[in-house]
Amino acid sequence: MPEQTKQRKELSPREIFLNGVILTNPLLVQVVGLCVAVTASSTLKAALLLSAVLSASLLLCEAAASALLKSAVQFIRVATYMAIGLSVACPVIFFLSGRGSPLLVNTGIYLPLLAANSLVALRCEKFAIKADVPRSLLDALANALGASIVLISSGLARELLGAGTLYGREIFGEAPLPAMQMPFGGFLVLGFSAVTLKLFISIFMPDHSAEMPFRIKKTNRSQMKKDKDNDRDQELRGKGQEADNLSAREPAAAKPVQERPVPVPSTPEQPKPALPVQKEPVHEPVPKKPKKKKEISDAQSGKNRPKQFVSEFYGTMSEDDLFEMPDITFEQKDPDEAFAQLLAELTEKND
Amino acid sequence: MTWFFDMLQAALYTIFIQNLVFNGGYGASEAIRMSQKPKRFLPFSLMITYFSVATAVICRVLDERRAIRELDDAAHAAIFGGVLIAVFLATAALLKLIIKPNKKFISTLGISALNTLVFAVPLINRNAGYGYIESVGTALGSGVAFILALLLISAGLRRLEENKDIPPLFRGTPAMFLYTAMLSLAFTGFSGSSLFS
Repeated sequence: MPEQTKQRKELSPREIFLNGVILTNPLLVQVVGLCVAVTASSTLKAALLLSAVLSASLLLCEAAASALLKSAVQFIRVATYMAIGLSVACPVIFFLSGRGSPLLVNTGIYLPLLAANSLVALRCEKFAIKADVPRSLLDALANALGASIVLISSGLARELLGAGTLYGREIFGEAPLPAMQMPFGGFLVLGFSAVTLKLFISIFMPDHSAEMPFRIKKTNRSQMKKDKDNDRDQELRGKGQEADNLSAREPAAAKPVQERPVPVPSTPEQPKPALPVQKEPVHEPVPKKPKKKKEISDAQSGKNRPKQFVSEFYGTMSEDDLFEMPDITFEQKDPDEAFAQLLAELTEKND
Repeated sequence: MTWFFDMLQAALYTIFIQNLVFNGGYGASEAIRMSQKPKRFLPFSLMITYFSVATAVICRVLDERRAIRELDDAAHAAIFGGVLIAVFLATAALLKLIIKPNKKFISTLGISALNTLVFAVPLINRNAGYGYIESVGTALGSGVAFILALLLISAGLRRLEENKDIPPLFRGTPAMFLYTAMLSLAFTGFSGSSLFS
């Protein structure tokens, strides 16, 4: 976002103006306030009326935000923008309905909807509350002008193509493309207007980026999992590097760690009896509670006793690995017998 | 059960035939901007549905009063707008007291409450002369229509991002607008409108 980075280093009045009208045009680049542009501005008259009301609303809101609302809580500010918008739109509706103007029929419910236009709230929150009043007014003017140009050109094109008229006067005998009066036509005109703006920027302002990034944020599960894995890898790598650095700096302190390689635990540690087969008393693997529970229940029922029995001795090794080892003979014996024999051995040793 | 089918009918009409986002343009900018953030689809749509239903019901209750019913369009717009502001402020204050949300949440709440889609629902209900059930149906339908719009735009955005054959000038926002135009055309087909007459 070119505007965000520039805004931090105090934009000049010229830059504020150019941003509002061209470089970050509210409708074509910021993609805000589309409701009126897509549907209501299907004729030139309606577009002019909507542009006037939108401009007045934007100017008043940005001035109020900059002068009065800087210390207010955010949700109060946002509600105030809408109240100001209503105070601009409602008198216009009242005036038009009093005169029985057909313009009110054309604009329909879109005139009051200008009060809830996202363009107003966005500009006030993004710019006006951080700037002084003159700069806020300039920003409001530039954005209003930028939006008005798009609204009016869209209204002109859609009226001409959709109804064959211009400002109510007949130009073509028959409407060439009636569909242009529909919201579909509004989106289509906006699309081609955005292309024209890009072309204009690339020709007349080659220093500025004409790219309008519109990317989806990768937040699906697979991406999140991938990110998590990457983070974990980086963390592990970082830890490994730290250890390497430590050993490089303090070889004496790191030496015992190197001398005693600790096997990676794959089964939860069981309460270990003092037996000669226990080779690694230093390492303390993290016990997994659910598995432990299961083993207790297994032990109580007598089921899988040999497996558990072995795991008690070789707590830091996996059960499957143990059963593959040729020198293990527990499986060939009767499990109960083996268990009893071992218990006897243990009691003997303890005595 | 009649009330349920009346509500369902109004909701389905709002979702497909009168799709508020594509055929009415209400909340179009929010839908396009939010389609880039799939993680926030559901919470944002739920917020929109909540505000739509609450505002629609309160506005319908107010419209029952003769003194308000006989007012002109400008007064109605002011009253309905005031109701929406009040609902938003009450919700925000309540949430701030109970869950103490962060700034981002309050900002999202503001965008979801004070937008054209939510504000349009009571105005549409009044213009169509809907009763309580249909008003609730339209409000629920507006939320579902918004989710539908988000999903369709987001799916298209992913395809547009992958497509390397798009000319450089059309990449980004222009392609998005043209794609949305096609979606709008598709929903216009549901309403039975004719393109060439």
